[in-house]
Amino acid sequence: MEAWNETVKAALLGTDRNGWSEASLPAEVKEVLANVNLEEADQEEKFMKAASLMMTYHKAGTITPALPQIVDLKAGADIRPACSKKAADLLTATIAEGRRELTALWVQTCDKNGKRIPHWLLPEVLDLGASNEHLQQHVINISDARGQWLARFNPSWKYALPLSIEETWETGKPAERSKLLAHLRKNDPGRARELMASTWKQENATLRADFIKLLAENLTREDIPFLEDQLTDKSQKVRTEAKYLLRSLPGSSINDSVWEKLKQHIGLKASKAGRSEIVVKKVSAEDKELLLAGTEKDSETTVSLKEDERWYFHMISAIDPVRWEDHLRLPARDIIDLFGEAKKTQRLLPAFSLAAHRSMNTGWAKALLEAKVMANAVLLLKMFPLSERENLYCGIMENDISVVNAAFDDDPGHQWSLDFTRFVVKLSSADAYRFRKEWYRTITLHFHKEIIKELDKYGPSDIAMKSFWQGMSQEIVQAVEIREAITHSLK
Amino acid sequence: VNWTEEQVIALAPDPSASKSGRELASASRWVSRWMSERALWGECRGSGSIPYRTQIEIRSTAFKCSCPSRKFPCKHGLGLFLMFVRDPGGFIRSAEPDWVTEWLEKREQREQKRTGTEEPGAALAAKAKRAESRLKKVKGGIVETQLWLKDLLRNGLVSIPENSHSFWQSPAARMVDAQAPGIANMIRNLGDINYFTDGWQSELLEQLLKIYLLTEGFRNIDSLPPLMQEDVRSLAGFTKSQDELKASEGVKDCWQVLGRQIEREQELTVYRTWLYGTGTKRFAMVLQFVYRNQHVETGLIPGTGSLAELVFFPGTYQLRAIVKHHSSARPFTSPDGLKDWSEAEERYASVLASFPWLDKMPMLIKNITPIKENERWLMKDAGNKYVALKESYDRLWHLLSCSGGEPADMFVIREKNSCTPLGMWHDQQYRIL
Repeated sequence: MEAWNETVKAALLGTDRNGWSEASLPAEVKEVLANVNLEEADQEEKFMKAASLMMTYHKAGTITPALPQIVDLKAGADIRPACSKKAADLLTATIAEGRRELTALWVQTCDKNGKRIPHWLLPEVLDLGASNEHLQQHVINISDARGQWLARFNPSWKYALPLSIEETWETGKPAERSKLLAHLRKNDPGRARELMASTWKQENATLRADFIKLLAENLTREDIPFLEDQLTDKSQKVRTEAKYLLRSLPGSSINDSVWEKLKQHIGLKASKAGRSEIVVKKVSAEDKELLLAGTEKDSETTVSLKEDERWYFHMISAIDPVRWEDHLRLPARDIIDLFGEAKKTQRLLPAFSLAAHRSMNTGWAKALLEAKVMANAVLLLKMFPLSERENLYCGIMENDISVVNAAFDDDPGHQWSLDFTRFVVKLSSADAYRFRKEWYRTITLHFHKEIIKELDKYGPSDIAMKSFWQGMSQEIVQAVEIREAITHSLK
Repeated sequence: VNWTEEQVIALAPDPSASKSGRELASASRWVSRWMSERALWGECRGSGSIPYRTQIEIRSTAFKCSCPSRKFPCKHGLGLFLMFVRDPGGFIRSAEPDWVTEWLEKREQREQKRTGTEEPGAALAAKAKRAESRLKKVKGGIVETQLWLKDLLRNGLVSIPENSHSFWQSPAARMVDAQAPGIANMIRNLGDINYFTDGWQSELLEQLLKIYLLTEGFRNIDSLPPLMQEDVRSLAGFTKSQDELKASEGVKDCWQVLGRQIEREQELTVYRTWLYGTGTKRFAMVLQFVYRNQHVETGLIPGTGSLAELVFFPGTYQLRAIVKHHSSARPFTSPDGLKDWSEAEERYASVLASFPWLDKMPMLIKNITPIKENERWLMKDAGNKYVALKESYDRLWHLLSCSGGEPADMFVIREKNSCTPLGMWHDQQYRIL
């Protein structure tokens, strides 16, 4: 190495100035050089001949260095069995074809069936989790020990590393802490609240308000003491967020006040024809201010409401609808029908849907769906088991399949009955231009497999649309076939 | 032979073709699918009323399709092949129809013609005259290149980084005029050295000395042993006719395709396919230059084995080869490898002794573990010695995911200070990296 470095130095200086001589060469090189005729060679030629020999000698004698110490970086043993090669090939194909829905289904099914991905696919699958937060937990599970080991080396895959709750909470960035809190709130709501309380005094107002918002997930009576403490927080933002949550939390003093106020303002009276009708009193400015949290945002349903109506809307949506049955001494369906009779109260019906959803009151949800209260219908439908949902959907949506995707997106692996699939295919094929490839790619995950045998029976009457539908049919067949292959290969 | 989907997809000319090919790998898209000993064929529904006729010759994985696509293989060819790989049972065994037989026969005739043509005497004489004239020109160019080298070394290399890229263009252009494109390239490549990183000094001197050795070799070509004469001529840019090569006897063996490196330069793509003969225990490299979306038609698919006859370009270190004849595909087996880096170094040194221009050397090596030291990755052998992983290596995550920090047998391309793994044995299977 030294002799080669000397040769390089000499070349840098140039043969005019370097004073280089063969003496610096190793004996072996000198021995070979002695056999080379240099008599007629000038200084540069002599140098190049000697340096060429030196270069070859240097390259041939490179000794690979030994490491000073062995760094132990071995991955732990995987726990899950690997999926089949067929399943792995299907995953490679769905990723390569950009079939996001089928890829997500693959990952979820693999996790559900307790399998892991083969090692060589780990980079692709870890990338998938990095770009799709909803899939992350599944990706972590199916990546097993090798995946966690690999994730240590790539910052993009940090999400797959085992999470230290205390460490992340105490030293993490705000986004990481919020993510942790949201995750905990889903799986261990009490632990999330305790964690918040542990550092509450050290958090700034913006973070405190953001953290309170996260308590909306799995909100229970156990959260009342913590939230009521925040009603005296020095920050207005924190107070309003706490008030907003407490308002819809049965058992809280604010929720009770809302109900007391609603009872005073809404009642029944007999009409001239002797029938009952809903009476709604005017709300005082004081009441409005007292009970509105200040964080209410207008939705599509509330934006057209007048000020009083808007107040009623927010208050009704905060109360478990079952209370109305006691108050008005009527069953749910009758109350809904009475509200639906007058224009003034009709506009408040979607608030009952929100209330039924908040309190997970399926009796009211069913009554609202049967009464065809369409606003928030998807929310209500999703309160029912998948088997019941199909009938409810057909009953209320009649010829509208535009929200069928949203109504079943909580379980992409769920397969519809053949009848319900026929119902969807019949309507979508008749209006072929309206439903595009992307729509079918999601919806076909639910299709009954037998539908592919009958696709020829459906389709629009228009010839141009017919050819479009034929192309789409091929897409459907392919997607259903891949889905079936995924399901079978991951068993 | 069990082809894998990955191997089929590796044939696609671009990602869009592979995506479309996968989409067409569905029975619902095909009117019919057939197979014989020699070929696969099928009819695929397209937008028109007549389905496209797609056919594949199994032996050399050649494709033909009646669709208008310029891509090769087209999505129909890829789709048909993928379906075969996924479910050969879905193909009906049958006698070949006329349109398949015609194509197969034409291919065979073409191949026979390629290997059997002889040049007439007059053409040979003209060729010899042209060769003599070129030799003169090259020798003239070499004298000038040597003078240029001497000038550089007399003045010293220390100020070289101050020159712009065009500094190398003029001497390179001179060698193009002298009809020695190989030397011209070597000179042009001096401009690609990174003069902003430490180590350029050694790199530059090494490259200059290689040019010097080549010019000196050419000056004395008549006194060199015949194989070294071939080395010198080839490096200087004298090409060898592939037809001539194919006329000579090749090396028949079961050649395992260990990996492929692809370099893209504007519209030209260079494919280096690395092979290992399980019987002869020698490596081969098939070099192909492909313009735009043309397909590399060799039937050499990484991760597969093939019973074939290869003809090597003559030289002291015979590596580059062409495929003379394919007979059939063979299962991939696990060949022996070198036991550690020390043995690899010995092998490298022994080649270097007769071929000082050696840059890349393929190696099968056992028990290599990738490990991280500070910010760089090293490939450690069983004796704790290491070679650095090439900095530009882009398959690190796949290498690590298969290794899991455990030693594995690998196929690597060894360069001066680093190595590039192109494949490894994982779970008793060879995986292309």
